Amino acid sequence: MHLNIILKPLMFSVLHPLWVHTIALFVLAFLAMLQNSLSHVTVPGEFSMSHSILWPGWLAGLAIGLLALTQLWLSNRQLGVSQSYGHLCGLISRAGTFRRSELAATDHWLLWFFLGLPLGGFIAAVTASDADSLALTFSMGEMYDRVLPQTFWLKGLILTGGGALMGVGARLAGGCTSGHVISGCALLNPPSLLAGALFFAGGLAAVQMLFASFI
Amino acid sequence: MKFIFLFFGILFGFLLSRGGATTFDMHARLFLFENFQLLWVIASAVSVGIIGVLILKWLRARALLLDIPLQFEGKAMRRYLAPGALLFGVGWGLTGSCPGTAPVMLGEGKLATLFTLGGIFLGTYVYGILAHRKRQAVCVSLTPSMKVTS
Repeated sequence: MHLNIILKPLMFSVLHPLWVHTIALFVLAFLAMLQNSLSHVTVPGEFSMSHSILWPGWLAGLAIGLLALTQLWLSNRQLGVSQSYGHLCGLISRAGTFRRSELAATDHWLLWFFLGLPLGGFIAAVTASDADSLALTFSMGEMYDRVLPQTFWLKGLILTGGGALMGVGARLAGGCTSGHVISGCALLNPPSLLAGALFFAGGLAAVQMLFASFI
Repeated sequence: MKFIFLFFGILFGFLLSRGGATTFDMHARLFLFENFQLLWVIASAVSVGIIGVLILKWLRARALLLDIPLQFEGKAMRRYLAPGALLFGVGWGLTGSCPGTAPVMLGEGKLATLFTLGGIFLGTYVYGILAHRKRQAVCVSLTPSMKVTS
């Protein structure tokens, strides 16, 4: 209970914005080193992938779980992504529900979080050992390329439709795979457990039907 | 203070990428029961989360940056949670990505995700407009004699 009295001054002095960047660089350098030492982990049922260095699932999951916990402990905010699309809509439009003050805010924490995601992906691709891991491509990998239409715009249409289903579904359910599964299931929150199970059920149905005629 | 969320976002994107969640085919292989990498990622993240939340509750921890007690309240039940979650799952299976991994894929140069991102925006926007209209309609019907100004 009095842990905070010790930790809080420490955190405030450490989390000066300039220091944040330094810490981020150190952590990323550490992760890059860790990844080099693990670079030849083969996934069971290995196949050709755009970048072949994956961490073992338990390790990546452990790190993600610790990240979510750290964010919760520092800021009392649960890890989640899908609501940030609402905030991005609020940046562009003030119509309908996006007039709400917190959705129209220009420096909401979710916007910062969202900005970090592509940067993290970029860093991950740059630090991958494959030379072509950062290649700009419209390819989705052999399996999805095989089942989705070859025509560029038709493929785009299906992806946009799928994305729209996710956008509407995430707002109806109140969260996505991050918010409901990683954060919500960690709290053993019954609605989140239900949502997580139904996310999987929907994905299972879609993929099984999509791939049914190809196997 | 909000800078730290940029850092969390970078780290989350990096970890999703290393976990394999930004590879489209990993999602297909998960739902075809060919490869359980992503299941392990999710299972261990949730297990660590459960244990960590129990420890934080036991410590009665306070939020380190805000100096308020941590609130562990989960998301509330919603009327359309079940159909929404199913719709979300169908979109997940169709696109091989989810709202968290789609922007990470953009950073990796997988441009097909631009369509998915556009779709998520579209879905969120349409929901925002329709939900607002419905809420207003409910307000109007509840107060027929009053004029809704805002």
